[in-house]
Amino acid sequence: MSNPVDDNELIFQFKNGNNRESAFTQIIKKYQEKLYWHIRRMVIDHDDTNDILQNLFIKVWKNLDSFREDSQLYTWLYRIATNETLTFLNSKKRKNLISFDNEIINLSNKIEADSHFDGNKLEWKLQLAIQKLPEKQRAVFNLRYYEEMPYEKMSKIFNTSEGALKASYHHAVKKIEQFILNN
Amino acid sequence: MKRDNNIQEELIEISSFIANVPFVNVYTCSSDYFDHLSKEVLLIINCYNDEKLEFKNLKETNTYQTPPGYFDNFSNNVIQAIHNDAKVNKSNIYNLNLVKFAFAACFISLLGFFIYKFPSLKQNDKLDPKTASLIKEADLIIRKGSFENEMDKIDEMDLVKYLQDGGQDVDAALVASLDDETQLNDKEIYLYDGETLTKYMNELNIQHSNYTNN
Repeated sequence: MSNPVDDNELIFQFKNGNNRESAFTQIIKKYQEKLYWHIRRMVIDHDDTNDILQNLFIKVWKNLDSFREDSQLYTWLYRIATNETLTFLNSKKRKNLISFDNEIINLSNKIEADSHFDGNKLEWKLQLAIQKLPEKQRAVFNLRYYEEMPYEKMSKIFNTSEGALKASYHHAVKKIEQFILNN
Repeated sequence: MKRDNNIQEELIEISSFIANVPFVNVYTCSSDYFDHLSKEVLLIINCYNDEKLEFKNLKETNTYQTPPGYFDNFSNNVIQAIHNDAKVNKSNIYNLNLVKFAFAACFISLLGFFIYKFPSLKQNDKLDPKTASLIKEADLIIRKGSFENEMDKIDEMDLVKYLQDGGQDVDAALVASLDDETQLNDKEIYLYDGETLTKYMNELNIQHSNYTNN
């Protein structure tokens, strides 16, 4: 298996137009799974995830020419993914005129509808608990817990201080613990 | 899935219970989903680029033409149209408040006419039942002082229709109501002056009382 090409090299190839599609395909292949699971854990549904992910890459295609390399492609992609996901969840709430509580029920129903769902298993209880968190806190928890992302990178995605993110993660874990123990 | 040591230690510090929850991905997607994603995305992007190119070409090809010299006088024509429009708006028949006043004026004139004429008509005993009923109703309205209420009950569009269909009797009042305020002459100003109108109605009431006392 060949070594993955460096992000800067891929961006250079894309911007110079020689191998635009090939460079872009490599960018997609490099980040698709990470971004897919980041979005999927937020919206639960595969089709919604697919829509958001495709839109995300279309936006990347349109804006990569003006991407400034003073920030990392990895961080930029996660920032777009997080914003797109939060926008999707908000627009869905507005469209269906549903409150935060109803949105939790909606997501919980989606989790329980999964063919592999087992309410007795801790890992599924964990999923139900994560959906109880406010959206931004949910994104922070997922990035730290599942993606194991350093706070320093998260602070660039959320444009928030590392301290605030640490506190948010700490509270999220405590809330999740409470939920699982009480249910 | 294996957890990074630092993350695991941090988690144990916050909650050893959560740190012991199995670290697994519970969600699944089709095994070949990631094989096709990049092709699907590029397909959409190419469609988008084609549409963009098509649209760009469409924008560059102007199929319509204007008459020669159209834009030379365009600004003057617009200014002229604005002035004309302003004049039309000032005398718009659908300015319903003025119409209402016009109708009120007509109604009062007709009412006054019947009240003044009533004694002789009564004396001659030539009053037909329809007119008698109208006079009786008008009399009642004056006694109760419920003219405003009666006016409010009438739909504004009915008033417009009545004024449009009313013919000679209402033409003068209608024309008066359509005049520009700045061009009103002294005799007609009462149509717009609520105080004068009330005074006029009160006078009618007094005269009517005088008649009944006689």
